Amino acid sequence: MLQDLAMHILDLGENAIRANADFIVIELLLDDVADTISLIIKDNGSGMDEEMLKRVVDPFYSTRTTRKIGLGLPFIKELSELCNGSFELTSQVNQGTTLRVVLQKSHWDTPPLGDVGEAIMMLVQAKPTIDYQFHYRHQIDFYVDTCEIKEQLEDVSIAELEILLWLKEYINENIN
Amino acid sequence: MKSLADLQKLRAEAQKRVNVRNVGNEDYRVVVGMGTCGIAAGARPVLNAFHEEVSHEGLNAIVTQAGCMGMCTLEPMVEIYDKQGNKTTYIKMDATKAHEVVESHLKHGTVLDKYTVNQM
Amino acid sequence: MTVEELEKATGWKLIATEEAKAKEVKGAFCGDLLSWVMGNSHPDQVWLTVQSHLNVVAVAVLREFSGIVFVQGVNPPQETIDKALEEDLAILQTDLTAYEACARLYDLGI
Repeated sequence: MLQDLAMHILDLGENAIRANADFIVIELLLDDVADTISLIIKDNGSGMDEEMLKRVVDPFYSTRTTRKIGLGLPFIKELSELCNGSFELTSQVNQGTTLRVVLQKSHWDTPPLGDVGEAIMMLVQAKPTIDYQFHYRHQIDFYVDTCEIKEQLEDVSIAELEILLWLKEYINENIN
Repeated sequence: MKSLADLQKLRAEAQKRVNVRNVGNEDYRVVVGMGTCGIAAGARPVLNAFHEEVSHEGLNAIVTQAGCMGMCTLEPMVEIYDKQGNKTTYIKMDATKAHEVVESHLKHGTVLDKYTVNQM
Repeated sequence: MTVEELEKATGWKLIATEEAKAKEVKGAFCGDLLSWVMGNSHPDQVWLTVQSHLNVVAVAVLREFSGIVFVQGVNPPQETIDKALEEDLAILQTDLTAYEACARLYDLGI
């Protein structure tokens, strides 16, 4: 597991980018009543078949093949088990993948949220042509849609450093 | 509090800035390893340092991210490619070293050997 | 010293292939947060931990550890043991706490 949820968001988002997604939805939902933190990452990338779905949660899948898959999924799966939560990975070839992880919010081992704004910023930076929808809920809903941002910016790239730093601050202010 | 209204102002400021980067014809391509091992080892501040420096110094370089680069005990790792495709692999990077690499390698074209994989 | 010599010196339970027993131990690392271990440890160390999920073997292989020491009586699942054997990674077990186990290793000059 990684030190905070933001690092997991960054790591798992990178998976979606590598799957050639051009639209990625990231949802971070905190529910005080149900005592849960839900992280949902949905992409429209190349997807996986049944066989690969089983293998990607195996930490040794990456060292056995020429393609590097990484520890990202095994780590978040382990975290969900440690935090009395759940892990669900569904996918369709050429349609995309959805990851749903739930953690018990009050569990001792549930990590802090971390710098979520920075994680989203870095994902946008990685491939600015990808569109993201970020949804955060903790009693109230907060949405960020890079399509809207790009519309406002017109000919200026979302990858400009000042814009990215703004995005990071904008997200973090609305999360805290 | 930041809001979407800020974007208009940021857009105006960005348009005023002289864009040094020659898209597709950059002098250098900086690739920061952002696989799970890279992130765990501290790649984020390295990525931030390169992005800030390239932007503030107006360098004709592109900073990108890559997944696991295969040598997980040497993370955080950064690969720098020049126009001819020559590759330099920097290992065990941190933000301070990133600033030094920008100064020496990106601004003056001198590889900082002491931080490369060759010095292992 | 080698893993085998470490077993003899400490009396800790050892599960390892011949190849794993012959590995040199150069230092130790204590930690239960996998990302922290990945970012701060060194090759050839033995790793003291209470984590026993299969992921610990993956981390130990990536970090090139000589072995994993499960402390405080932690019993890793069979899956973890099987994979460790497959990867020629030594597994040691002790009832000592991490603190006590580290002290023991320190006294041995590891």
